[in-house]
Amino acid sequence: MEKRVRENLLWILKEVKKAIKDLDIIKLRDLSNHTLHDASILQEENSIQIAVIVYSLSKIFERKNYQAYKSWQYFYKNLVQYLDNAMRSLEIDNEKDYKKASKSLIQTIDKLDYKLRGYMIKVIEKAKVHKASRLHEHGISVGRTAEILGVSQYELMSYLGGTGIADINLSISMDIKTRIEFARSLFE
Amino acid sequence: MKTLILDTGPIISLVTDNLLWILEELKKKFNVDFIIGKTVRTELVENALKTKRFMFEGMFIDSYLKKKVIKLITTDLNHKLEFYANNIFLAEGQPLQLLHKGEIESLLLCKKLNADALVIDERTTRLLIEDYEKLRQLLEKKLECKIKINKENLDLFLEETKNIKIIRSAELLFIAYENGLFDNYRNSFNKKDLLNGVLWGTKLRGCSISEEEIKTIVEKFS
Repeated sequence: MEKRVRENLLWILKEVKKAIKDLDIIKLRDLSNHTLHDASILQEENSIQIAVIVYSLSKIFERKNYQAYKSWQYFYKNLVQYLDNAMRSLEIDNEKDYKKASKSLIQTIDKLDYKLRGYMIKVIEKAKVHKASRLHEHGISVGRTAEILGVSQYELMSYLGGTGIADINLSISMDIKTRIEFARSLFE
Repeated sequence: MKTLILDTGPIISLVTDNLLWILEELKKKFNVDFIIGKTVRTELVENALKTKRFMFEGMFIDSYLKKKVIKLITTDLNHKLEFYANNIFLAEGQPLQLLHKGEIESLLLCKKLNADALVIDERTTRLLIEDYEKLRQLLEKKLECKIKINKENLDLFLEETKNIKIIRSAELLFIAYENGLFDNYRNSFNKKDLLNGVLWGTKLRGCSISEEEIKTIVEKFS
């Protein structure tokens, strides 16, 4: 793992731990955007994964009713453990153990109450599409973004339709009248 | 006969808007060939069939391939174009991998078949072909760093794609509208509202067309 990526991930995880302790949802959401730069430029899997995890956590902690589930404490304990293990692995530059820690967080979700597990899986899937749209907003194509995040282009397209990405001036590459006239010339 | 290459996006926009039938009508009326590549087909059909949410859309598109409204043509993906496209812009010394194999395949099909146009709804490929400087500015703004251009790869990419002209699902729908394919609705709705509704439908399903462009089409061409 590149030094810059490792240091960025470590900083994010430390801040995530603090934000979770303080139940600071806005901070969590902001932190999820911190890896977008590396995710766009390096298209590095750990930077992309952490963006999805942190955004998902912001959504999970936002829903106070999740905390009423029996297995919430189990999830919370494992989340803290994941953060500690992941930070330790990054400190000693052990990528293998870092990945193991991330995998254990996903396995934790599998052991939750049926309903809570279902909610969390949905949150993670939505987080992937959201982050894919942000990557596309940064200039990466729809196909490439969908591939990087492992989401379907059907999902991504419909999400993009609800954003203002197409409305900025830098998205327009030809005068609309010229394009319409060209389209007409194809169907004469 | 005109040949149009379809990327993944326009077919998704049309099928999710229940408007894929316009391809059949346009094909009949204007003798147009609508072509897709193998990677595009995989995303549209095979990958959709693996999901619950888009399984039927996958089946529906498959039926259009079976009745040859949309034709599948394969092309050799082992071409330098992917390398050129993904090594034009550099951020912090790192080449930006911007395009996917499916988009590259659509470009290669345009070249191979000397197609009259590429129908593509996504912004990055369109900007790269039509206005790479705007794409550079966009990358610079969003990534908040200087974006350098590898002139050699840019020139090679532009040379390979110089004859490719682009339209989107929005323009296909406009042509369908102009040629009376939505006339069934004209008794109940005025023509501006009808065109506005059709174009907003594709925008909200992911076609990269701006609100301003829709407004202009409705005002000037309806």
